[in-house]
Amino acid sequence: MQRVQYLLLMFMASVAILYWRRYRSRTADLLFLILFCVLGALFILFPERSTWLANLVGVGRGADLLLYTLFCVTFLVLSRHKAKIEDAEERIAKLVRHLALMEAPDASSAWTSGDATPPSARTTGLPERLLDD
Amino acid sequence: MTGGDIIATPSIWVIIPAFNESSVIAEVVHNLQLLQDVCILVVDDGSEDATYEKARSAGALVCRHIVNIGQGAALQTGFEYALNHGAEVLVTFDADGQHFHGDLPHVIGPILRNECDVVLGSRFLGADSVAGIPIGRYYLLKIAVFIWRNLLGLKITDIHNGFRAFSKSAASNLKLRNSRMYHATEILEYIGRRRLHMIEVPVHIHYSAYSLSKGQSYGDFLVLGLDHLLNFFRQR
Repeated sequence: MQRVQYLLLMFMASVAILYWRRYRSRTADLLFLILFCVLGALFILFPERSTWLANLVGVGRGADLLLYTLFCVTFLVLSRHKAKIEDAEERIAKLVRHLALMEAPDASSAWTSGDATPPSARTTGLPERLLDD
Repeated sequence: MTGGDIIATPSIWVIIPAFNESSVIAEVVHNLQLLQDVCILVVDDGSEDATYEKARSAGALVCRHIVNIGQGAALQTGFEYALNHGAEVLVTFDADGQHFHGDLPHVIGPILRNECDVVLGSRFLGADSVAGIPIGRYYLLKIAVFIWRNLLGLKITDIHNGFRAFSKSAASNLKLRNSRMYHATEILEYIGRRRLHMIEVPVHIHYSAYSLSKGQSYGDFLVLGLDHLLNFFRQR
């Protein structure tokens, strides 16, 4: 296994773990952003140096390294989007729940008015039927 | 309803999250009404059919989500409603007819006797509980259970059974964040994290063409498995 393979796999695994189920880490976001800005700037300023970096991690050409990096960036961006969407869904759920609870009938009134079937009343102790075990 | 004596009776609530179950919901509700002592709450999770109307006319209390947000969210809504009304034992029950109302006394028994905080129904404990289960689903569940038992240390046989009972304290501290089917994972994590006392009891699962078509697809199970795994890493 080349070094680059380790690096890329570790990267993808850490992104998956960090962003799965909308756990969004501000720190991770910032770190990744800085990392890619720096790498991007370096690639632009010193394109010939990309080959050196590529060889360092076990890749033949700089262009190939760039391709792999782009793949990782895509994965990261998609993971963040997924996290954001899940966040939004959680907020929608809270809203829908609030509305549902606001509009829901009060149980006692519904039972008294006959809108819903009341549980039969027992006078004392545990309901016998449910103790038959 | 008579007056002050009611306080001695523990308030038992059955919460039924339902999405597009108009064909069976009335029957499910009526069966539970045979038990008489339970408060029945159907949470209509944005159904597009007549689930809400059918549940109401069957005599259940019904909460309604205006859009579909998922079974986990429906359970959470049901819990909050029930707890607001003084529930002491909260039971979750499927709306599609898979669960058998006759199992309910066995599921809530341990909680009524203060033996534990949470009771989980298991289809794998009884001899004939798995009649008719599709082979693929059986093995997928077994694999997931293996992961949970060995990696996560939770002694469990059925990780995805909607028939559960919670004590009042167990239910009030549970805040389900995941709307969709990952709530099953969340519940197990919650039990593990808080070291709640959990007991499994055998329950019967009725596999009909209808309930199977409504159930999880294999793709869902794979994603669920991945979810379990990733969550395992997050705990460490």
